[in-house]
Amino acid sequence: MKEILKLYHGTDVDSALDILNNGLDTEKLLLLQTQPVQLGTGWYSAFDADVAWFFASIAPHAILGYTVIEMSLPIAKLEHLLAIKLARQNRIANVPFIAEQVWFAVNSFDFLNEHAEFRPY
Amino acid sequence: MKQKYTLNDLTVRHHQTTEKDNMAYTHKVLFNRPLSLREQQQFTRLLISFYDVVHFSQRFGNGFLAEPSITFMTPDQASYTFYRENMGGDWKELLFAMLATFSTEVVGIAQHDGNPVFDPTRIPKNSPSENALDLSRLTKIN
Repeated sequence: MKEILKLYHGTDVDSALDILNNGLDTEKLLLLQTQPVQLGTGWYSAFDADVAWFFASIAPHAILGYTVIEMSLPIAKLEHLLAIKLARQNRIANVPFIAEQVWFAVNSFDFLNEHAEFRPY
Repeated sequence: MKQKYTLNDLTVRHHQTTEKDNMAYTHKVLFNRPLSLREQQQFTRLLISFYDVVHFSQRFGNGFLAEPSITFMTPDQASYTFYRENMGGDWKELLFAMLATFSTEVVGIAQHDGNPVFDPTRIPKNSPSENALDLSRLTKIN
């Protein structure tokens, strides 16, 4: 039995398709993530799809629209990333609701591209 | 072979813009109950005040071209339109904080652009634990 965690990421349509088809890319993320973010540069995901929709709706490059993608990741893999500090789970700051996120460091992208599965939501 | 995804595979939502002016961004608000006239005025004042603070303080990445317009289609449904050069800016945190306070203290906002994150009746039951992975969210597969 394999335990899978589903996480959700809201973004603009172009970025979503790029992640779905090519995986997470450090250089592209650094080009887009120009404003300060809570836990620093990295890829942010939410446990709740509605929370991801909220962030998708405020994505600055969402001229063609915004969407949510789903990432399925074996729980053991996430625990490994948490243990080596390439992922962090915490409450989202500066939002009007209570929700948690999982942040992934750019150094974890190769690992995620190997072990996670990305799908449209 | 890995599936290649296209736009047709995505659920896409859009910021509403007017046909004449693509710098007008309209958002829809659905409240938990019909607002009295006084509450409708309060909501309208809130958004005008927000514009005033952002515009005159120049501290939230201004870019507003005019005062927002606010319309109540029914007592429990409103739309507001911002006239902006673009959608980005630090002003969003201020706006969301103000909407959240309105939702908590005056009338609950059931949906904002179809999104229920402001709904005060929904937030507590969906709050995940602070320090641990919530195992109820896991899907077990063989």
